[in-house]
Amino acid sequence: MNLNSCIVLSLLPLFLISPSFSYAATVDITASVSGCGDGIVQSGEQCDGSNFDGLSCPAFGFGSGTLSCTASCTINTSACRVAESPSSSGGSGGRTFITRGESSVRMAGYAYPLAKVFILKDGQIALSTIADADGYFDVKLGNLSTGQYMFSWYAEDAQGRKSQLTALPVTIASDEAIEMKDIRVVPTIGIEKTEIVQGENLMLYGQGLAGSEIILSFKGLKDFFVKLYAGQDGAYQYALDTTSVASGMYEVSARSSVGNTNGIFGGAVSVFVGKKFAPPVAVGPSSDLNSDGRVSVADFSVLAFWYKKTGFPARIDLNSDGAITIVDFSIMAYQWNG
Amino acid sequence: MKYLIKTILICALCVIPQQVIGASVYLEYADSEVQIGEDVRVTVRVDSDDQKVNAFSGSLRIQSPFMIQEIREGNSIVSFWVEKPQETSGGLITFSGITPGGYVGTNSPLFQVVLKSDRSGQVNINFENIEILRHDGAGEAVQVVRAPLSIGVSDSVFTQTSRESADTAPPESFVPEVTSDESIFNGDLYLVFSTQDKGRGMSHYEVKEGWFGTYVPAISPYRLEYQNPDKTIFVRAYDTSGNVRTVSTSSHLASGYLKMLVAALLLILTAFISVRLKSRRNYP
Repeated sequence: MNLNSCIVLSLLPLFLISPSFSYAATVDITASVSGCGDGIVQSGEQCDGSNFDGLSCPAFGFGSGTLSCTASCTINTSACRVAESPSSSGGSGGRTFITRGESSVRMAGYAYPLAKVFILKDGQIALSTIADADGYFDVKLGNLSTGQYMFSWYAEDAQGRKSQLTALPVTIASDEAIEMKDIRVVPTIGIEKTEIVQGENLMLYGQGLAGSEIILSFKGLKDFFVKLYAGQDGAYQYALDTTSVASGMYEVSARSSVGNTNGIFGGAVSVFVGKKFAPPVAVGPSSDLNSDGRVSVADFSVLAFWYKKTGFPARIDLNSDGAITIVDFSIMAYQWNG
Repeated sequence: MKYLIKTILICALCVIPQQVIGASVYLEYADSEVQIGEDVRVTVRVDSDDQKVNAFSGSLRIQSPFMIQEIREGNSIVSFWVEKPQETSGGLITFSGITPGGYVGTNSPLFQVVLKSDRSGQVNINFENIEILRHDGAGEAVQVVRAPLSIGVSDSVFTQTSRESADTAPPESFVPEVTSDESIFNGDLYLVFSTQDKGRGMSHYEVKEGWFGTYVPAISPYRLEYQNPDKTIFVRAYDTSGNVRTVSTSSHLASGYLKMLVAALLLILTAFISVRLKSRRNYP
């Protein structure tokens, strides 16, 4: 016998020995609506008809909307809407809502199916979660102080590729709960080779939102975009025939869009298309200075250690200009994943 | 209105040709009249003009008779300071920092300066060498509109008490990390840590190596005295109001607890065996 069966059987005698049950309910209703319907808010009533005793949706922590009054003269807030402020992350930051409550931030949206999603607070990983089979994730950070924060997120796909970080400034006031809904994590993008010979196929692949439209942008090839669709697992791939592509360095980035919501382009991968026997191409700078697979405060510390100093190893100088300056830090911030 | 927000940017933008676009830095303070002896909180703010930026650097020059009382950097869109805003010479505050992931938005704070004047007069606050870099992987500089500020200090003397509420919140939680890099400390293990304080800003850090060590003042990166990656390391972060948050190297915390547990079990076992042996001797 399972738990539900136990509960049903244990409650059954109560119904069997209570023939006045329906009668008692009628009495209760009659008592609770005493005076209700006369348009005057009296003792025991929250509202009466269109009279809400001066209250409106904002009094209940909502931004706007309309209150309604139930038949028993209690206020119904289901038609109220939470305050909404515009997103400033260019499409992938979703919508931000503010309600009353414990100072916290709830972040919900879509990554790739079963992707590992990382949430950063002021540039450091605060928590991680696994998106469900549809790619949906919903997390909450509590116990926050009032003040200015930078919240950001990225995801790691099934192949271990990381998407670019997307950040959003959030100001938390006292007793304000922030909800960031409809977040769309930018797709990952990978490349088979960083240098290919003209005529070879350039293989690109990655993961985006399940079944989403993927736009590949080729920087360097004028107005060259490719549209394709990710599978239900979010995976996509594309082979570019480079026969007619001129020699040079190109950057490819990807965007994942669902319905009317356009995502933003994520981090780019670089490829050099050259003729046969082309000299090796220098790989772009890597901010993972301690080679632990992350670009984090540990790498920042290395760069900060050498800031405005001389005698640093060449790999520290990310833009190879002979000095450690704020530009090197900017490059690191671009590649950051906490 | 007593707390009228004065944003000189508005005036500046009026005289800037409409075709000029770029990020903006400007100053904001919240009082219509400044009196002698009154704390004036001036916030440095930034607009990104719909472009994603991730690095900010430059200086703020504050003329006398204003004196710098305090610099608060915690409430900021800057997550990591390369140079924490500080007075590097008389009236000159220098700063540089980054925002991982980039910033797009308007009216966001970089840091706040608390000023006070001991006499009346007109005070100018100007930006110098301001750089804002694009979040593009190359750090390209964006065009920046700088809006200086002029504040008049009246002849009257401020006699009220401070209206500011007490700062009782500790710095934000953080996770220190033991790492190494061949380019610093000869490849020795070192500790990195960083956090923010949303109140008046960070003051300093202290580090303790092991459960029975002693806290010593430290700055990140901190070379570990004991080159032992398994040792639990504690970091105390103090804000300028004296609130403190203590954290430890989480990855090593479990092993530290485990070792203590094993040591405790061994102690109990030894005590138990000794008691048994003693009782056997007493009752052969």
